[in-house]
Amino acid sequence: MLEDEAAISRVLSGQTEAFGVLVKRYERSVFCLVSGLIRDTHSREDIAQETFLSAYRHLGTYRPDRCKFSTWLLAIARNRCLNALKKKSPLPAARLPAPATCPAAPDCLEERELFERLDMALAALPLEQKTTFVLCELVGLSGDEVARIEGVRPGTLRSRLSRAKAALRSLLGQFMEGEKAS
Amino acid sequence: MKAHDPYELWKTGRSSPPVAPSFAEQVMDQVRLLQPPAAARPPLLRHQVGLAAAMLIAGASLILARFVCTIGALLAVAQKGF
Repeated sequence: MLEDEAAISRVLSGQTEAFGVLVKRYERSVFCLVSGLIRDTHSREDIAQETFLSAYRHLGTYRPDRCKFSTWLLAIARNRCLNALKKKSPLPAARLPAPATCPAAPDCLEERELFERLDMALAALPLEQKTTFVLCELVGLSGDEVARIEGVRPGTLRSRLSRAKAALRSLLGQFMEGEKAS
Repeated sequence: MKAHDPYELWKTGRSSPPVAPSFAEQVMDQVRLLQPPAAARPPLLRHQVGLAAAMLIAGASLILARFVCTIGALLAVAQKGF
């Protein structure tokens, strides 16, 4: 499998098909970020597609000495999502991400309800906490990479992440207590 | 166990969203319609930018000086009379 930089060099030298390697390699990460921030399925696909097309158009401006390709690509995806959220009506429902898939759907109604609540809690987080949580915890980027994408210092990032986690854990605790009581 | 932690399960579900199998092909279909991206020109070095700015300022100063001299000469001639 081609390394990122080799694939990029090939694309820049005119071998367009080499870009497919990058799309395949990072489509899941981009979808993970986009679906964490955008609810509408069609918008999600459009934004993911626009992200790759924008990356292709501006591939010549990518500087490997500054950051990894994945960091650069996810920064584009994040900015596209934020632009889409700004354009859409600010109704909270429009920001709700689609519910997470439940691994054992038929016999996990309680879990499904919990997942839906966690989705709602994630959607209700302030935008900067939400993007930080999605990039760190769901996409799985390192703190340094997320700090670069978000344009904040690592300390700020840690504080945002811990606030987001605390909010979600608190909701989880409330739900568990409610379950025990009933 | 971590695997049964609902929070971890939720994160796992969210971390691997379904991606349409044809997604990459759709992107590549769009990509083939675009102009190939050009490699970026090497960024201008700081001293190159400095040199360009200095030349610009020098040029502008010369033009301004010439303008002032011309006006001065015209005024002097006007005062002394033709």
